[in-house]
Amino acid sequence: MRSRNAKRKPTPTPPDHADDGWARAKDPTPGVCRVPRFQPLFEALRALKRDDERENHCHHPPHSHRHGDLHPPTLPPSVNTVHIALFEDVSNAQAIRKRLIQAATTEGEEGDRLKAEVDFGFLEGRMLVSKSHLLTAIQTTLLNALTPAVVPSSAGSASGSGSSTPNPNPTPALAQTPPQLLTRSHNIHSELLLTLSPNNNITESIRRHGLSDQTTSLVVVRMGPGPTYAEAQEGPDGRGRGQEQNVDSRQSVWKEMEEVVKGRLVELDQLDREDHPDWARVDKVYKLAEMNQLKLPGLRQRKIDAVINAVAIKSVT
Amino acid sequence: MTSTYVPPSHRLIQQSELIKQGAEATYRHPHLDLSLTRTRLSFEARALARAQRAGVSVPKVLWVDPAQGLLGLEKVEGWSVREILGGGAEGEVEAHEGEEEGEEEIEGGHGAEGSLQGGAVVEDEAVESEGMQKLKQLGVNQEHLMKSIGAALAGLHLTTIIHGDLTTSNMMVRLTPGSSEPYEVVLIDFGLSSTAQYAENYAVDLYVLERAFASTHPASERLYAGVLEAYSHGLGEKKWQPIEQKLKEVEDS
Ligand SMILES: Nc1ncnc2c1ncn2[C@@H]1O[C@H](COP(=O)(O)OP(=O)(O)OP(=O)(O)O)[C@@H](O)[C@H]1O
Ligand SMILES: [Mg+2]
Repeated sequence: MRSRNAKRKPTPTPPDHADDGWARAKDPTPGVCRVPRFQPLFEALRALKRDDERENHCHHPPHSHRHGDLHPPTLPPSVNTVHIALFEDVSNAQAIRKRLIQAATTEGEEGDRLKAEVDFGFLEGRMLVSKSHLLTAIQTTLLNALTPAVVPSSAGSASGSGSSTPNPNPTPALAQTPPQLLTRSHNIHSELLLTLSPNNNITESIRRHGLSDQTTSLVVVRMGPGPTYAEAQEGPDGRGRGQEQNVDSRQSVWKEMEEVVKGRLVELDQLDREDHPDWARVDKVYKLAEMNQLKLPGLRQRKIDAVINAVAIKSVT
Repeated sequence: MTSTYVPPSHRLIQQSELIKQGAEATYRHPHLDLSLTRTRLSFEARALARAQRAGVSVPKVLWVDPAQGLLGLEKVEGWSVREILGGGAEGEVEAHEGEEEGEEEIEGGHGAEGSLQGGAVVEDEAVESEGMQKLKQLGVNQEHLMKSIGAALAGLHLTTIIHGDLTTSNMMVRLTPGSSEPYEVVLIDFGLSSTAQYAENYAVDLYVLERAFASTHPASERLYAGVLEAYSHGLGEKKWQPIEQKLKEVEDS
């Protein structure tokens, strides 16, 4: 029997911009403009939750939440900053691919250096149906990668030694595990490709959503470290170091991107253009043929929503 | 369950969102509740995605956090059908006055909001709800709304998805300026949904709704008849007949 309580209207919290990284990132800050149209998601992700809350949060099992106390998922500093750029008329896709392969196959220090140079998610722009498709994929990727695997009580824990001794003090694994990156593909950026893909085949996800020799529209994503919440709050106006680091990281990441990609930097909003996606391929990959047949009004938006849903529920499909 | 509203300014994705968590979590053993909540929320997420693909209006899924048992949903801006019909915003159909007051207290920490909502409950039939007023301005009357609900339910059932908890609180009305219809009915709360196998499954879904109407709204028979008429029309004679048959059986029993 399910509970009949807690029927509450969503709390109409007044928007609070005070600690809102997104709003700030949009401020026309002089100096930031040196990297025009480069979309920083600084803090927007990190603002998912504050560091100070996070600590408590991660060490408590979910049932400790009470009404009105729900938090969206949170990110540790190692991946709390995301930089995104959209390039059109990319002319060196083949060369980038070569670099990726070279980096992956070179060992030792040299290999590490090469890998660092191309440590980005390279996404086929025409396979993205909207800006929120991309953002949802990034969010889902981080969320899944950070989700500690919860070990069912019966199945024994990950050690795999076949130990059948029941834990005398069973606690959900979640309660003890601090957030850390747990990726299947060992790299947060290839995990992003996997998130975009409706199945779990890594090779296929690269082929469909990654960079190909023919790519001319390219999204480049860097998920990496950033300032902590406390750092972001420092300074007289509460925008101190966070803001500086924001600018710094934008410029340095931009430099790294520029080094790799030959193309025209455009607004990320270009992803929302109706003619931007390669719908034939999108329909095939996301199996939208049935929707085409429904003859419903607003088909395009419905298809976009279907694709976003597919990405958002990736972890439970 | 609990839902918390998160203003869009705090999110990566600029979208009003509602976080949903299973209420069961509070009462069960941590291990157990974790997996149960996870299963249910995962199920709800998948059902929403499936319904959306089939053309049913439901909230978008923004993210799923299975470990915490949380679900991030698009916030539907509008009113529940319950609110529109003047059944008030609070409480479930079966809940009695006393219970509801108790629950308000349990929720605690929301004093201002609680009293605000308490005041908003429309007790007097003569007073029209905000939502109904808006609809009327757009030339939409109750009958029209009932038709839309019936059509929405037919749309859902044609996908073989059973809602499992059809109440007027679990249907929302959202205005859709700029499209051919002035509003749409959005179905929410798919936590108890399932896939139908028999005509009986659909009939039970409808029966639950009938009970919900009867216990919440005055003149419910007329309203519900309007829903059913549009529903049968939307479903088509062939699919409707076996369901109608089952409905009669359920009602006679
Ligand atoms: N996506 C949404 N947009 C706007 N309001 C919502 C949304 N989801 C839920 N609500 C509001 O919150 C209330 C409770 O949500 P919901 O019906 O999903 O959960 P519930 O009924 O408590 O769950 P259950 O029935 O499984 O116990 C709804 O009646 C509705 O008023
Ligand atoms: Mg409900």
